[in-house]
Amino acid sequence: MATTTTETKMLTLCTSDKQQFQIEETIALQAVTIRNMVEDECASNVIPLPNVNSKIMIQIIEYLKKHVDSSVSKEDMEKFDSAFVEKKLSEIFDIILAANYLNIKNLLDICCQRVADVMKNKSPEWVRRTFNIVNDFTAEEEAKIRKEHEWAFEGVDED
Amino acid sequence: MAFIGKNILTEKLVKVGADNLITAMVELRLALFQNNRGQLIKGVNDLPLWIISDILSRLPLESILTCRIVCKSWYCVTRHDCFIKLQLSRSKNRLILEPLRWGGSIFNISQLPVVDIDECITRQIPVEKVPWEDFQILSSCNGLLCIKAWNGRPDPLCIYNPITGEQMILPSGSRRLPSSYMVSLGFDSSTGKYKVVRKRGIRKGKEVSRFEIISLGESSWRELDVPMLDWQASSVVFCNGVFYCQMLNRISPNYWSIHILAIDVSDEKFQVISFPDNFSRPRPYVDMMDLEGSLTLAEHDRHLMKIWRVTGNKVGDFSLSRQQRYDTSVKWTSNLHYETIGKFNDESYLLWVTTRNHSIRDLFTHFSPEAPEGTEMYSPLNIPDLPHCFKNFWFKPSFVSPLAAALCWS
Repeated sequence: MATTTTETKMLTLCTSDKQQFQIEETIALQAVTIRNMVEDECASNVIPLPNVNSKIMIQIIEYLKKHVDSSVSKEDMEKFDSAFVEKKLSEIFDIILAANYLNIKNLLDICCQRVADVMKNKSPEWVRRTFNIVNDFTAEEEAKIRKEHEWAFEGVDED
Repeated sequence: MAFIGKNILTEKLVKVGADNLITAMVELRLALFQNNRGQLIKGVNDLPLWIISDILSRLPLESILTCRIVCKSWYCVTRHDCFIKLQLSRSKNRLILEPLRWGGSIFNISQLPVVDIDECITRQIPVEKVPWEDFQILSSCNGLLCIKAWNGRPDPLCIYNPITGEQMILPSGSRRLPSSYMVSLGFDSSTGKYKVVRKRGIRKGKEVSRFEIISLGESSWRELDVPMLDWQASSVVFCNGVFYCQMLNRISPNYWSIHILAIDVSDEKFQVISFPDNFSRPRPYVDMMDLEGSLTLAEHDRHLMKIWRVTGNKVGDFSLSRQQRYDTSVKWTSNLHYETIGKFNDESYLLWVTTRNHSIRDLFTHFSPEAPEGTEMYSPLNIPDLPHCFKNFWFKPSFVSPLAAALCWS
């Protein structure tokens, strides 16, 4: 039986901590930033990605590998996505930054949605605690803004 | 310099322009971020501001209001013009209700119920800064309501955002009192203008219809030169850039013919859309609704519901075709009446049902015409805190400012 060997073009990505990742070009090109670099031919064999570390790169490659596969049903893809974002928030933030830099719109979308889902219906105090945000309003300012839309505070989750 | 998200940033923030504070804050964040690049970040506020804006815009409106007081930068972000646009594009459609009065008595509307149909929750939004104690809602678009005083007079109209309390009074038109009256508020996404179309019925032996239009910010109404003016306009809706007006013509004592007049919000051109079977019925009753951006009609024909869809995407190229014919299994009367107001999912429609026995009672129900044997065709929604009887309008809660909309293009 005749065998056909189609040559799969590979790209090497180099992360901020100087780790190298060899991946198929079709997978990597889903990231618009990488696609632009390849199209503009400004990339040599190794593409430097100084804004992404290897820990995050591994997860992004996992995402891209799944999404390049056109045989996956829409339902399964949604399942994959919702499982993918089940991570610690600090990790989600890192993925958001990387997805923003690499310009992977869907990934950015699902991660931003995940952060929004965590915040939904939560009290401002809870949000500050969880996201480690310093309240820079004075008590008077805060009370004034709160009073403008008192109705929105009915039924918020304190914890 | 090839820089993180620069393109997206340019698209989303800089284009909209010159809010110096925000721009400065964005630059500050980006500068901080540049210094930290490649390193792990710890908190949400280490993210670029436009991403914070993106995240907050995905929240239900109530949560946006509560998150505003988390810190100053969040407060600023959620007041910015590009946030308002992004939030509007993601805002989930709800229903705003106007409680109805008994016997035309004056009523002090101090709050408006807003219903989330999927979650079966009612929120009471306090009514503030409206020029009248008692008013009626005529139309709703992008979180703005078109309202007028409850005194029978057609003028003035007021564009009101119940979330922000901002309002703007429109100029008055002709002083002649119309015999019938209809108003619709629409949005021209190509220019960012909001426009109001209204029809005034004038009795000259037989009633004739006059149409006029105004853009927010314009100083007077302009008359529209549309056909079928001696027909009766029975309802008007705005859907995907077009005002659709249902026109009835009595062709014999018991028969009416019906056509749809489509007016493009942008160039104000029009088209008459006809039913393919030369639609004429005794007492035609047709609901018009916006289903995923195209006009859908639900015709009531005794116990049958016939679904029609307008296809085409511009004036001159619209046509009507029948999609479905369902048996509702109910003998509808004037004491048990329904209106189709939307679709719940692929299998079921959302109906607004009015019952009159000893008193009037309004409710919402799902209607699944193809429900399998042994399951209920109707499932009434158990929504707490509904008024006894009400009018309802689809409503996308937003921060859109009627004043800014009037200024943005003039």
